[in-house]
Amino acid sequence: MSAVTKVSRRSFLQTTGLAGSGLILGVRHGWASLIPVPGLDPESSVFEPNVWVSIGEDGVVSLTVHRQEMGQGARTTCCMLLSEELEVDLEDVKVVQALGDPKYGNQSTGGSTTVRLNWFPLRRAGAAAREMLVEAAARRWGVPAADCRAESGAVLHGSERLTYGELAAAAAELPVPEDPSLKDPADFKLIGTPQRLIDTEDMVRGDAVYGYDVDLPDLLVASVERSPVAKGSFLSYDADAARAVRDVVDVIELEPNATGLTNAGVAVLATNTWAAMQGRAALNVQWEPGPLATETSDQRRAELEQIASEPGTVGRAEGDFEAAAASAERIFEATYYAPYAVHAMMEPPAATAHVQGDRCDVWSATQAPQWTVGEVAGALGIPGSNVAVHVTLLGGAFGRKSKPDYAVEAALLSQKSGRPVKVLFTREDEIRHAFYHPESYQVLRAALGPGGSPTGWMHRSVFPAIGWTFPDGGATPGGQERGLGLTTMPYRFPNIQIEAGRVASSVRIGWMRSVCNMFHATAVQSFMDELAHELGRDPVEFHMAMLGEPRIMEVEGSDSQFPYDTGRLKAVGEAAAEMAGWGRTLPARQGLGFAMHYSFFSYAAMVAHVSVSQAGELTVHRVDTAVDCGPVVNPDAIEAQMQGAVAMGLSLAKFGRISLREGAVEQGNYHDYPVVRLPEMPRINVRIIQTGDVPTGIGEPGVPPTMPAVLNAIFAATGVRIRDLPLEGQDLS
Amino acid sequence: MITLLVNGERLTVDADPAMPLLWVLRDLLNLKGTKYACGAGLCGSCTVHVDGEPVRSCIATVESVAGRPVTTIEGLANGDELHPVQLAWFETNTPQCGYCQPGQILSAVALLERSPKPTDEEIDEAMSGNLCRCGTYLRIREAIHRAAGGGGS
Repeated sequence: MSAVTKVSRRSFLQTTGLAGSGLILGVRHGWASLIPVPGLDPESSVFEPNVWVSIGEDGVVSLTVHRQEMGQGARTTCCMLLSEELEVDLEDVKVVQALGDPKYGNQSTGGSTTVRLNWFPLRRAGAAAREMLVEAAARRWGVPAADCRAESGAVLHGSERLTYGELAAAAAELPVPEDPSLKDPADFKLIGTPQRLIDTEDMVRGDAVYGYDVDLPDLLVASVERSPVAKGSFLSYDADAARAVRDVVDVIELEPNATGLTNAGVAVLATNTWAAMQGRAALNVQWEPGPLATETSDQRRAELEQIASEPGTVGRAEGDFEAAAASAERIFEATYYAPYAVHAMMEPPAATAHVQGDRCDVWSATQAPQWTVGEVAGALGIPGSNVAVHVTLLGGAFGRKSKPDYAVEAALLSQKSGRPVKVLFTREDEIRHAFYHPESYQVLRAALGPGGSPTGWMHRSVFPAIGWTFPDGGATPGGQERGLGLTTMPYRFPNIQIEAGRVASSVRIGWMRSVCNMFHATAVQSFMDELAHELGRDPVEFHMAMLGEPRIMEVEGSDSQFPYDTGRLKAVGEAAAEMAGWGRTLPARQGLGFAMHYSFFSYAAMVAHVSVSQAGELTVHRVDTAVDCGPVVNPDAIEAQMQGAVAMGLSLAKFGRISLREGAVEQGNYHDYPVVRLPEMPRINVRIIQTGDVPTGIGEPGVPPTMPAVLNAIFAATGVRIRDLPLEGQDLS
Repeated sequence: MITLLVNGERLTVDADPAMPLLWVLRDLLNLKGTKYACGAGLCGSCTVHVDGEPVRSCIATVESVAGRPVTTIEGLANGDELHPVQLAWFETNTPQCGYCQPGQILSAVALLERSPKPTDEEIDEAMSGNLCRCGTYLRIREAIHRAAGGGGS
């Protein structure tokens, strides 16, 4: 085995200011040195045309990444967009992770937005810097800029060559072009080519720094026993028993914060994690569970069903469904249920804070650094400008790490203890103190006219809105949540009625990879499959027929900037069917299932090939998937995202269930909240279709079609129609 | 004081003998490549080798490994030169978030030491204790075949 060629090492340590053995607080003087300008010594930086590009006289090109890395490749894609237009080689740049700061615009990494929202801004940032460097070289040589070209970190004219480092000082004197010219996509050298994620070598060496890995001199580790029921309070606990544990330093109470992000808790602070956990176990906290300790999952389900029997808030109405139903030959109806689910990303939430006077540094595995700034500042009662949020790598996130609750806890504990404090969630904390993917109950009805012609579509979706998480939020799902797969139903029914029902939640609701699209796609795509079988039609043929002629949809959940084109949906659907050999004859108890879905302005279709043994054991052999997310930046990352989406969708379909008993979550670790393991992973074939000239999302759109594709395949294999998730415990024999 | 042999180095730590090896490595020896994810031996993220065998360091007490050779992810590479299994992971672009990968790599190294040319079935068996939530399983399987000299499957 040959040695790896020396790849440039981009240790995350260097990029977060935690160089070497850690940021040496207290040695430097003055606040300015405590907020390192990311990765740069300001005095050596001579060319900084914008917040993303910086070139020192030493020739080091630094690119600042303002989006967070949680495995989706954001750090790499951001660098690709900048490097392409700047004309530097990806392996030659130094990557700096941005602090949370509004000067970068939207940093919140979620909603599959990184490429979609930065496609132009980051390319312009790179192009502006390139134009200035080229102009500086042209002036030096006394030639027109148009006769010069940039390549691999240098400007060239004939046989003359000046590196960016040599030009940096002169370029810094020039005005920043307001409207730099972008490359013709036909000239892209980097965009569209498969690239290894820039942190890969650190990751395989074990050098990558995650939220859990932050260390500071004098650090205390906190383990927090939180109320098992949201809004509960403690009656008593044994602080002395906790303090008696070796290496425990302090026991500190935490009050729930005003913004609803944190619940009451008792923190045990120690000089190492094990001691903090042992001390916490000794606390023996007695809880007053409060008013939310009444809810149990079975009762919840009955309540959801009841609400679904009444009209909800209309999100889309076309024609007159009631009239169509009244005159229909028959009504076909089905209902679907999915329980609460949780993220269970490999790295539980973790954040470190160091409060010094009215200043606070935070190191957090967060998707939302600016929200973290605001919440920490609010909790500490200090201005946001006094809070510096350094972002580590995220060991998975899936939406959970958009909430800054753990950073708030760390900040409060640092303020109270006077030392830097790292808050580590255990796995049980992660599962029991989450912001949950909502449970849902959905009713779908199709009105069928003469000859089985579909004349009406009614879909009512009942699920707790994300607003229940926040103090002022108790709400019916709004347009944003309805637009996640409910109102975006693409089929041509002459009469359409789409509603959302209001139900309260005793647990906090949050975003989870693709959010409401998951249960909406499961219901819509299962129902279309059921309807096809009811009408004796081939499911794929039926989907395509009901899509009809391509059109641009304007509904809740669409955006004219990224037009919702049913022709693109049709194209991925046809591609997936073709890849899978749709229609081929399979042995007994094997089946193919089809599903397709529009989300985050992208289009994804899947065919799952499953077999179900006589004993009812499910095997997913293969998933063929086609995806259209517009122009591609990093095709390797797209393939990886689709593989990951299938793994997540399959985990949820098989096992995903969070249940409540008297308001508390019953699950706690991977034994009772299982996820798929390597032997359960199907072969996955990914085809990328590139349509249009603006990229859309890829982190999430693969998840929604996975579940219905598998459920429809189970039906094809067995005749058993699964309408309740998860599969675990259900008889497929 | 407990004497440990970690990545070829003899070290002594002053720790509660019941402290899991994971926290000794991470908090007392500052070897943070070994990851916590479940604390109950369910997910494999904390996998290290003890006497060459894969062990879940979150449930192995420090006392139980005293004096026995322990290898962590930091002990695999030879300076700039990656271990063949790390290299295979690198070349196949296996990591996404990367968090579970040190444990995956150590499980794979142990597999390849006892079965240099593993079949898919052997890989399934050996790797089923290591969870990944990003869904890198297919590339993990490919990387193991590549490290075995098969150039990927």
